[in-house]
Amino acid sequence: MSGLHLSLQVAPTAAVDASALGGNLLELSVAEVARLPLPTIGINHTICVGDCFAVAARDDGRGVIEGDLRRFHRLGSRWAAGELRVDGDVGEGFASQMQGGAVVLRGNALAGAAEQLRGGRLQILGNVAEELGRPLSGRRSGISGGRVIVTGNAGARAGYRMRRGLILILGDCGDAAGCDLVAGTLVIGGTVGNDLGAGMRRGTLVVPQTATLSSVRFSSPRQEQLGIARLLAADIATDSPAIAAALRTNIGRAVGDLSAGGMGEVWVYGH
Amino acid sequence: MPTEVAGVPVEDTFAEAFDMKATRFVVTAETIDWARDAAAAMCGFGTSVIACGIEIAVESELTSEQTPDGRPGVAILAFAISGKELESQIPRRAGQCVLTCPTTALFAGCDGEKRIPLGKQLRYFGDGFQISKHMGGRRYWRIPVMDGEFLCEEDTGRVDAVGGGNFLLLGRSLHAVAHACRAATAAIAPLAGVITPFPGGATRSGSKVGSKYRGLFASTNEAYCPTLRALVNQPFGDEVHSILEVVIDGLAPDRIAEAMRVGITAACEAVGPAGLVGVTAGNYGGKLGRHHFHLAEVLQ
Repeated sequence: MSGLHLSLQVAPTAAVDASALGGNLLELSVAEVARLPLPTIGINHTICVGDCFAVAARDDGRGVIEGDLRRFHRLGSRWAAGELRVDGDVGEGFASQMQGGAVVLRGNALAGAAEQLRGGRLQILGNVAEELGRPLSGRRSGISGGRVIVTGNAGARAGYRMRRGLILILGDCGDAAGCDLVAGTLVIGGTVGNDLGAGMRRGTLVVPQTATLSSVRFSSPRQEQLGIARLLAADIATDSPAIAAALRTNIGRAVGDLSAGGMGEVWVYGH
Repeated sequence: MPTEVAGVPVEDTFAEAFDMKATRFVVTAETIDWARDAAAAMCGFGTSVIACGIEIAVESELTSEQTPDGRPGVAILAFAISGKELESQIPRRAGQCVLTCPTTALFAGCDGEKRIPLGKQLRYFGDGFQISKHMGGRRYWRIPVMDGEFLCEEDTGRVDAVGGGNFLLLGRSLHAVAHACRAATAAIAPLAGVITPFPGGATRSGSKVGSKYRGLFASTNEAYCPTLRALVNQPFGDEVHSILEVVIDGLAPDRIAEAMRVGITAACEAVGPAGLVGVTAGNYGGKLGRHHFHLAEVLQ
């Protein structure tokens, strides 16, 4: 697996579907990458990677893409193996359907980052807009595996319809975090908006004591000692030592969304 | 040249051991006492595959730094003739002995492509209220119970192993050989990857294959019963009054060999030639088991 370095030279005039810059990218030669198509969204026009980027080989086996990439949607789509680093803000659907390997974004992402992600480790060193980990349009389940870490803030409906895996948001979260959660674990380090866990069926939301739980949707948090909380603490200790330390003490546990017949749980740390 | 350890002669023979399947798992609890209680229950009636199905014992006690959930615990090793027997025995024992024990949790203790179910079967006790969690590439089950939740890993690994490593201590008295035996098993206990599944690590009922009675496939080995010396031929002299056998199961042949070396040395040093007439080993002429531990070699 060879490394690649893509440096944005000329930004496209309209948003493009950059899902070609994902998947098996590292298995391609420089010339093959330069010829990859970037269909313009909403217009019947396709440009090539080589029209926008200076493409070069790297000898460290990594993929690196840099520049102002806000017009590049679905960048890193279906990433399966190896390491991809993206320096700069990106468009919608970043790392959509990622399957494995490691992707690091040093910038902010528009809506739908980690869309229906299935595996691997996605680290976003910045903020993400709404619907982190949402399902693809028309699909029922969002994230179904893997690990997503956001060091900044997340917009509304983070973890929408999540089914498996772990999302760790170290900053604040917008409204309806964990809404319609099917399973999996969503950990939030900062403030939480309204309608937390609305419609959740199963799964675990981990929130600080400052979060407000709807009394209609959730039981009152009850102090409990859970072995699984200690395992989660160990699992996230590197990414968030503070939350991990809080989970090692007693936590409050509420159950819901009762109004939707849900059996999910909200862990309130610092309880 | 005959081998001697601390003045005790060691017979030029070998222990014959067999291929087995093994697994390891970890029981943790709020205190080490609860973990020990669960382990004692789980390891009960697990001395020999002849009638127990599996041979199972505590491998070691673990500090809170050594366990997955940061609580004290014990590592347990279990051996069986077949993977199917392990798959049958382990979930039943875990369900009756660990699930039932207050404050405990159960985790995998070894890797291996073949898996032995733990929570994969026990989860049904949750009657639909059980919760699955994937974490760090592993799957855990949270089963609601009266003291909170029983946390149990999905399964544990199964590996190829060796069972039936052994040595026999020929004593001048019951007191001396029992003391030597305790010294041997105490020396073996800290070793990783081995267990001595019999009570106290030793057995007095060494057996031969078959019996005069139909349906019994093992019976007392009269050649090693000192009280029968007037009735049958025996491979030792009148000065032997009591014999005990230390049986060792291990995850690999080298671990059994090491345990035999450590155990024989400790036994001989504990009582010397005044207590032991000699040391020998049990075998079936080398025809049944493919692992032969020659005493002279393991003691080098």
